[in-house]
Amino acid sequence: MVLLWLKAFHIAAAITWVGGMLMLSLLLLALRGSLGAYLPAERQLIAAVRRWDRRVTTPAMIGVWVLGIGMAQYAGGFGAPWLSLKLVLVLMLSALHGVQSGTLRHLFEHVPRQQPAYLRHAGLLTIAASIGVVLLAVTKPFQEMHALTQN
Amino acid sequence: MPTSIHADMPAGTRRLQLAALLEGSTLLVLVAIAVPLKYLAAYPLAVSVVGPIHGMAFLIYLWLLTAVAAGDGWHKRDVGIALLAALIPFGAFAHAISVDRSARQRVANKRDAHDSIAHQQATQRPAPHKQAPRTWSCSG
Repeated sequence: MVLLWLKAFHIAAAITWVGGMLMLSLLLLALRGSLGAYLPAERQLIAAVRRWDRRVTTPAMIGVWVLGIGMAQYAGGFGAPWLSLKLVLVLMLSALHGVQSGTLRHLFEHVPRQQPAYLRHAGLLTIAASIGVVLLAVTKPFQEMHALTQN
Repeated sequence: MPTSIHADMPAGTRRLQLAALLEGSTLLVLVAIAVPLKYLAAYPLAVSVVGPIHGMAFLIYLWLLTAVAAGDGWHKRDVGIALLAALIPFGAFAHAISVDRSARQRVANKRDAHDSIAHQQATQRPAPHKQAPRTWSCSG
């Protein structure tokens, strides 16, 4: 029962986190071309998204980590290949979110500058990594191989 | 009145420094205490307690590192060094010191730039305007 509750909150937090990351991707893509000073409406939008990122998206990401580690600890799943692969994808998503947050802070606090080129594909990367995470969590591949090596 | 370096240091950098210290401490406890306890004393509980705590500390460090590096425009090489430092025992401590040092340098540079602008403004201030004697001319 505890595992089910942990799983439910873990999924809810993950949806919130990925939603926030997609919003950041879209905003950064929209701000890409402008290198001059922002209009007041643009600054208001950036400030609102930064607030959302600080108050909702980042806590959701921390929730995903805590609940995920808690589930793996509770169910004794550490060491399974699918979980290791999932962790790699989560590390990648976390790093991407960090870059997005930092870039948005820079755009807000300083003169707009050229964004890293890969941020143009941040939305696609987020969706691809999320699909990968869901596929790994649902199908749990390489289980037999892991069981054989354990015995 | 001079303010302290830590007051001038951006909040993100201060948090990154704290995260580096936390990450380094948990890695040290894991490698120096928990793992030997598991394999030498057959006491796996320490690893199962410290392991997840270190995992969380590493994730926080990674997230703060990428956010601060992207926000402050770090060089890719410095990000790579910081990531490597997180994987080596004592590496994160060295990195926390280096973050402190570069933040002090940045604050000092900022102060110097501020002082030099203030000095420039003071020296370039136009001399008090001397009113030219008014001359009346009648033309036409």
